[in-house]
Amino acid sequence: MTAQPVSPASPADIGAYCARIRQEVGRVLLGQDEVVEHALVAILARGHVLIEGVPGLGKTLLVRVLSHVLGCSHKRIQFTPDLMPSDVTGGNVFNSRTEQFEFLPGPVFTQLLLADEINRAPAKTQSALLEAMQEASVTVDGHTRALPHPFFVMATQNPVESQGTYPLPEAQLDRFMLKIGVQHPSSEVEKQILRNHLHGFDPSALEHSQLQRVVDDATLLSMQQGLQHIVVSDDLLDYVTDIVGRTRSHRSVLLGASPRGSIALAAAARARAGMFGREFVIPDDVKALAAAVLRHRIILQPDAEFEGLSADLCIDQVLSEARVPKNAA
Amino acid sequence: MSVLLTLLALLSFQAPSSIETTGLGPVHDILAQPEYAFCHDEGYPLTEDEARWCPEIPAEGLPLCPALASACEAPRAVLRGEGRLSARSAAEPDEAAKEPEDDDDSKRRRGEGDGPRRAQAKDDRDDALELPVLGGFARVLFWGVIVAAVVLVAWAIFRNVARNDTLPLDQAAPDEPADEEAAARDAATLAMETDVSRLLQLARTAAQQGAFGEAVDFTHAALLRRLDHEGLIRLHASRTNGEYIRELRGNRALLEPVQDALRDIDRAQFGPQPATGGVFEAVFQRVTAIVKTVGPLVVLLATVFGSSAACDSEADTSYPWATSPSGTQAVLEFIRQDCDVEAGYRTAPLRDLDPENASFQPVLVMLGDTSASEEEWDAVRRWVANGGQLIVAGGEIPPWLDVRYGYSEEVFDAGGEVAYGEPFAVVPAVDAAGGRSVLLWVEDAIELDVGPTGDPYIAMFLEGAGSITVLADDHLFTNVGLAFGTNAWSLSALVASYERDVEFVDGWVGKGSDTPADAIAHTHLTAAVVQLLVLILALYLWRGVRFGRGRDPERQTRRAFAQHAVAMGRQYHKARAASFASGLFAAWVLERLRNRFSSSAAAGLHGLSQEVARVSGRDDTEVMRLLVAAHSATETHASPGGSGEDLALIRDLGRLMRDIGEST
Repeated sequence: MTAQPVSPASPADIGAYCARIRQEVGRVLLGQDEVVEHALVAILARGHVLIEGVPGLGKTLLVRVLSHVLGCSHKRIQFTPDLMPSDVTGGNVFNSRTEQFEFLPGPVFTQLLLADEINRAPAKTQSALLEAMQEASVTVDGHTRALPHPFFVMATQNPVESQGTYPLPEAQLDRFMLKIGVQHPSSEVEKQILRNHLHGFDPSALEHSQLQRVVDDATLLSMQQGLQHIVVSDDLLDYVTDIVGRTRSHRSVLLGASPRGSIALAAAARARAGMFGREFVIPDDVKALAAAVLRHRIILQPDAEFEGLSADLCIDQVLSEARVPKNAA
Repeated sequence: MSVLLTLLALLSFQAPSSIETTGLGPVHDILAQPEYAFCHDEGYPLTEDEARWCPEIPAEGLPLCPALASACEAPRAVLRGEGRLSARSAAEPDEAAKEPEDDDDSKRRRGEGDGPRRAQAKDDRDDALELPVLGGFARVLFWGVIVAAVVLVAWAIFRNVARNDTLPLDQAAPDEPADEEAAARDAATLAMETDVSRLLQLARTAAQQGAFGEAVDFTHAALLRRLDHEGLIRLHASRTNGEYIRELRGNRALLEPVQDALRDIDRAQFGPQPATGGVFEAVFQRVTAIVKTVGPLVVLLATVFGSSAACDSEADTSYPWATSPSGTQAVLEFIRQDCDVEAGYRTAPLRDLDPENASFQPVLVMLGDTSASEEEWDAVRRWVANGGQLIVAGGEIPPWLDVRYGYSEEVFDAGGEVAYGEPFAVVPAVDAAGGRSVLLWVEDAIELDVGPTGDPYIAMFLEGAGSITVLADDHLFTNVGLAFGTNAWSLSALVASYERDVEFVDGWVGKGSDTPADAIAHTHLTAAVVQLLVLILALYLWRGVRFGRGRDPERQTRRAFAQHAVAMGRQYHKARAASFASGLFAAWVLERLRNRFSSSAAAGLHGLSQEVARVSGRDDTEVMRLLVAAHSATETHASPGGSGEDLALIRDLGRLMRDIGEST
């Protein structure tokens, strides 16, 4: 499956589609509006998402609901210490009937991939995703195969269990456009979730939940291409570079965000503008996504970590110091 | 005339010696209320004046006020302060015993005649508003501080002005920025403008010059500044429009218009199309509408919330001791209920009485502590002549009337000490006690004999279309007076005869202030306030606009070394020694560049220029020319003289260092 030439959607259309997608997803996935918004941003900007959260918060449900609403295929890989790269990418197997090696695609050949607990697999297996995430293709035995379009990876990791895990290398972290923290829902939302389940909602049988498919592959691609027409002014580019630059000079940061971080921030801001039907990016778009884009791209000074400083706090400080363009203050 | 007939009927009526309480239902109900504690609390502290009712309590007691007899045995109250807000507390036994002596002494000290007594009372009240008199040393210290402050401010102003006048142009020269720096600084100065009206004016000016983008920026600033000034948002350089909108979520009246305006502003500032005249006009209209709305809205909200917070819904205009025996709350309530008219206190000055509508205005009842100036009496007389109805109940008697307050011969004969201003020597009830407070030398009046001695207690004077009724005292208009005999009946008959609303006038009438200036004048603080205003004006002149108008603090920025070098270069250029400065600065620049681009420096000026051009975004050839010129300058700097080229070289090198981010 390759990308077909489609006419780009207008920002107004993108906004309308996104509103309907969020509405549909919100019918099933309660209390995770920000996660849904960020996931949509990443999908529109052709990026990938790393979700950090404890089990049971609806990560798998999110992927399944998204695939249903977006009309995409989806697969899930549960990462374990003995998972091999070929278990991800697939491999050549001998067909005794044809007496030839045939490629058996792995689960990565899908449109929405949930890489569950990605930090439980060793680096070799994690790296199998690198090419897939960056190039949207997989090379097995010297033969490169393109992945379907759109291709979106949503990886999860558990922040509380560190034993027997393999922290993601910086290079791989940088491949994720956004890192999202999933929080527990409020008690009111949790009560509504309980009501839904008591009234027969079954997350494994979404076909019975009357979820509607909002877009198809072609529409999604046209939405992605439509982002090219969203204007990012020079003032906002200055704002983005200022923010990213400040992460490099922050006293508590050992290593700031790379230029890839700037690119990701600008692209994500543009996707957010499209998501709200705007044909231009505003500072709010940049500021709303700065933490999700940058938090996994900076390394703190050891003493700052000892003092309990987090990447989010540093980014907050950076945002509170960076001057918003066209600000009257 | 109906009033006269009613009065005649009233006073010729032989009321029964005892009246059943059921016949005075309103009085009974009113005095039964718990706030009239003197009727229910047997330990209620009466003042010495109020205690003069005690001997008149009949042996069988007062059915309308059962606890008053016991309260007469309780310790007397001590009043602290004067007037309506006086505090009342029960006196210690020794104080209670001491009070009468003091009272007698004070009685002796008072002069004859009621007028002087009331004038004295008014003077005492005025004295209470005076600032305490300063002692000699304190006065010297006070004026010394004032004079020192004025001298200091004047000296500071003089020094400031003198410094500006004598500042040589040469000295100011280093601070003058280059052209592009000046433009940037001007823009920054405009951005620092915080006055909303000036920002809108700047926006309009920019629009007239065709700079619509800049005009939208100014309009945006005006909107945010206004919201910030009103405390609706917290303006900060790091905050976005979305954050400001979220701050306004609690204010529904403003949220939508501000949201719409900011959406348009965002489109003009960051949208694909540059701002046009139409866009600016639309934004400007939206913002000016909001800017005009925000102030009054905030004031309105503050007023509503402030007044609701400050005013107790249960509170009325009565003073704290209105329910005491000598208060008037029960009287007012009784008049409202029994006569079905409005009754209350007058607050407007007597000189504001309107003679044109005197026939329809309420009856004025001047109570015991009322006095009036000559101007006020003139106004009262005109008002009465045009149909106004006036009752003088123990207050200052109109000067044109031939009547005075006095005491009955019975009191004289009894050997009692007679003194004007001592109306409580007798029970004031009109019918029950015969009115031993009397009116003397009543001439040209309809004398109404009401007492057993035949002394007049009430007199009525006809004055044009109106009338003036004089009572010997105001006891008929006190709470405790209602409980005695047929006073309530008499009061009801008196008031009902006028068929008008009733306004009580006491010593506080017209004491309020119509304007803040009046309030200041009444408190004798005019001089202090004027001094304060002069001081503020002096500070404004001294500190300038920044004192008078709120501005963000200026950020203290450190100048880059290159800027200092350029400034020094100007000085050397004026001294015809620019080559020396350019040579030294060029040497510093080259050394700095070589240190920074050490890898390229090995390739000589060519490699260095390529690297500098890459970082600065400039053309290779231009950078190379500059570096060669700098290198030449380092070799010739020892030679005297200099030209404009040397100064230009210093400036160019300074810009180059800025472009590559050398901020040191």
